[in-house]
Amino acid sequence: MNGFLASLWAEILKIRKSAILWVTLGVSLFAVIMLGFMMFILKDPDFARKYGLIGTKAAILGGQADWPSYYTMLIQITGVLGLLVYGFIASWIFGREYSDHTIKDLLALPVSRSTIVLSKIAAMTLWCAVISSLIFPIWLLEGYLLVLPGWDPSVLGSWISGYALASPMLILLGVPVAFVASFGRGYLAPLGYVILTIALSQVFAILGHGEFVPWAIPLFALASANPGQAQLGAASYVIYTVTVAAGFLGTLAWWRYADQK
Amino acid sequence: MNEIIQTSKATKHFGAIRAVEAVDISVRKGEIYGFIGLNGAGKTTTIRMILGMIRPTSGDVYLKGRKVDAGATDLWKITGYLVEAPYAYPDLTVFENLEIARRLRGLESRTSVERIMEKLAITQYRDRKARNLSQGNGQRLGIAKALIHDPEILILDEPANGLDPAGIAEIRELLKDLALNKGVTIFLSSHILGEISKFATRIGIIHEGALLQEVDAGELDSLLRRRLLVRTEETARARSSLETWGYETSLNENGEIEILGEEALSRSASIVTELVKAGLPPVMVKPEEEDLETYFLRVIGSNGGAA
Repeated sequence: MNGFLASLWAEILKIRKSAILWVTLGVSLFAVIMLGFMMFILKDPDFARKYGLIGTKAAILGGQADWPSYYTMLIQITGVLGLLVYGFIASWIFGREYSDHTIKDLLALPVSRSTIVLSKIAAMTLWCAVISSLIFPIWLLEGYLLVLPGWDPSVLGSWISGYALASPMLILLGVPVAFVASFGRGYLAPLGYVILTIALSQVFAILGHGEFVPWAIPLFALASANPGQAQLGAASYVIYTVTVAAGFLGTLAWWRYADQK
Repeated sequence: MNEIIQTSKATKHFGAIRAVEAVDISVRKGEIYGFIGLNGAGKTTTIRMILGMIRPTSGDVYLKGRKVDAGATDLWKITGYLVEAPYAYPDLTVFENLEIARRLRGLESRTSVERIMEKLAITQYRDRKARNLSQGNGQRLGIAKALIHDPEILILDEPANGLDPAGIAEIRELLKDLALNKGVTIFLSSHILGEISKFATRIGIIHEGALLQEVDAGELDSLLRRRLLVRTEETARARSSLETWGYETSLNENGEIEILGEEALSRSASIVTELVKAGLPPVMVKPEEEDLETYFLRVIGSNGGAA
């Protein structure tokens, strides 16, 4: 346990001292603020015409200036942003050790390599959880300030539940990214993987098979929080769990057994 | 158990590349073992095998009699190391980098970091980010990380890299003190025999993955070739006469006659007398001993090396 805490402390220090902390936080907050801005534009058609491109984009994403559309926007933004930002964070936490050549300092220590991996995943989860826990309240506050129509307090609980389920699911999809970063020994491979997973999640969600694609399953969980929507089935949970578990076991095995050249 | 580091037919192949081939090394407690080889000779691969970072394709590696395994965390507790160039977290200061090392090594004493910074003379760079350190101070930081927990076994890959001559001497004295006074077993690699020979107690020469020679530092002197250099006005005739008298000779690039062997050195006065008598008075006679670099190149050259 001491080894884990020592390693977790080290990981948090590395995160705190990096520019990536502020970049990922900034991108996430910017995205959620933009959601409110798009709703603001949709509420005012004259303003939307004046800012033609943004107005069109807002109309494509949300359609109408009301709470259900605003939640739909949250689903879409969270789906892409979650995979991108959380995937980027996982790439950085694991890939930087290879890019900075510091990996070798973590391989022959009194703290086991498995403990190092666990502490990295814990640090990744903590960091992503902070970002995730900021997004929803800001989204809610913006909607409240915009006085959007269609507010239904009975749905809010369902949305919160959906977000509370989807966020950790999105965060833990960073674990397979950790494996790709370790296997690829750097940033490039995991970033390519993240872009591929975003594309797959969007394509399969549009095709209506999102519940069977691990990277679209959290989006499905968010969408199913809306009244009358289909719920996630056991198959989705199994597919998702197998994906994350494979990433986790793969990362542990790679650190423990692969040649660290 | 006197053998602290031991490899038994340690072999590592990367696909078709035979990086290390059946290397047997044995390092006793308190020894400073200098591991010499050209770049790409297999030094770092051997070190990585000793540290459990890569698995031998065949053969075994032992530390203190225990087979090395990546999960042998109790072995790593007593081992300090520096592999290849020293890298540190660039966004963190010298202190923070060492604080991470202290915590991961499970050291309770918070003064360990201050103590090791002082020992490696980097206290003045305490709050400087690692990215802004000079190469020499980066090297000192790397050595500090290897030494922070007072290891029983120290494995250093090219520790003199980037250090200025004063820094090299300082680290040399530090390592000598650790081995002689604290019984630390030190295994260090270098491609510079001249430097290693100044303090290593034993030297191993690796070339193209094979360990060519292991020699105690005390024996090294007897292995160096000695010769007598002679210059005369009539080189060809003098050389012919010397060979008639039974000496083995050759001509060097300066046009001087080299007479090989210990006998030539011990009989230098008689050789001068004979040459004078033969009407070939030497204008220069100089005994010369092969330097360590030449010896190293000769050893690897005679084993199919490029030298």
